[in-house]
Amino acid sequence: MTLRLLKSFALSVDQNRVPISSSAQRLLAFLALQNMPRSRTYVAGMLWPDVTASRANANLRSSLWRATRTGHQVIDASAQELAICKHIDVDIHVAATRAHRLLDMSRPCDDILTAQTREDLSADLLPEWSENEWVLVEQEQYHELRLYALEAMTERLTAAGRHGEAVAAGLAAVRAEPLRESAHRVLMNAHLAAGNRGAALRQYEQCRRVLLEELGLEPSQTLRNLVPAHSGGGDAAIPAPSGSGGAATPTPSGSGGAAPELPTRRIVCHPASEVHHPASQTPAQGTDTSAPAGTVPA
Amino acid sequence: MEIPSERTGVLILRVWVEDGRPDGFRARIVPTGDRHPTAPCAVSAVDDVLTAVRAWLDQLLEPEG
Repeated sequence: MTLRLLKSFALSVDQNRVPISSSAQRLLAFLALQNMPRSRTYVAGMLWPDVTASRANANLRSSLWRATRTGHQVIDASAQELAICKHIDVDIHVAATRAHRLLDMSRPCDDILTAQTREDLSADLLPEWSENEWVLVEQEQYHELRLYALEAMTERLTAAGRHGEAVAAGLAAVRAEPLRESAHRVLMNAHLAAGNRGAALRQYEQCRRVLLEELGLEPSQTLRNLVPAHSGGGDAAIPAPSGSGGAATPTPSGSGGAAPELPTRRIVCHPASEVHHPASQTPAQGTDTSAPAGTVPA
Repeated sequence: MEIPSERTGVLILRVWVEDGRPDGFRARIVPTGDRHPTAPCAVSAVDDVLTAVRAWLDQLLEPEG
């Protein structure tokens, strides 16, 4: 029996989905993420924090009953404690173990440099369940872990000469957090190792555009140094920041001398689903030199 | 009998520091809760984080109606 919590909830036996009510789904997912027995009181309080204790306990009893209606043993329930049955394989546990292995640079892990690992690390935990506080905490912990693991995976694949897979992992890292320069850096390194300087330059430009749009900052010198300044277009290919500090007063690309300066710090708000900007996409409103809606000058 | 408040919320601060630059502080601020849905923000200064947290608290605590 397997329980999928990445991307979406799915309980399966031999590849066949097991129907389970939404309240039982939440109970099973919570117990799976605890990975240890928890008291009934604790479980009820965490899953139903906004109702009275008696109501929460009643909800828990109802959810337990619904879980038994799957026809499978999925929860070990004693008078005091609850736990997910040990025979259930949970995908996020496998993914987290692989992530920690990827981050341990003292150990080889060629056996897990696979598309499945990349896919698991590209997915968030139960992204549609964000109304539950306990899920939010778990989501963030896994999100943070997978950010680092994807970068480590990209570096390992690059070192192994598996350039195409390295680029795929790097793209997943950038997608997970477009503002992380370290993600852009490992992706650019993957392109460069593959001999694809143009792709590295395009990635640099995408990073620069995102940083300017969202933070009004230029990429770091470390990132600029990755691509030779005279590659494919002279100095204009990798514009240097106009300010002495490199980040305080960026000049928008293509702007003339008459354009006003961007604010030194900005808060640009946007829906989470629009965080990632594909390289082919033209810069959004945030690059405008006038203060866009949602922008707070420092 | 306990009467749970409906005024609850979670604010996620995802913070990191970029290597190799003096202004490497980064924070992504993700408000949750449905009382006043707010879009995620990205900032690069501690003061901006404090401003965003205060604005979020002010929204949470503003009078009903």
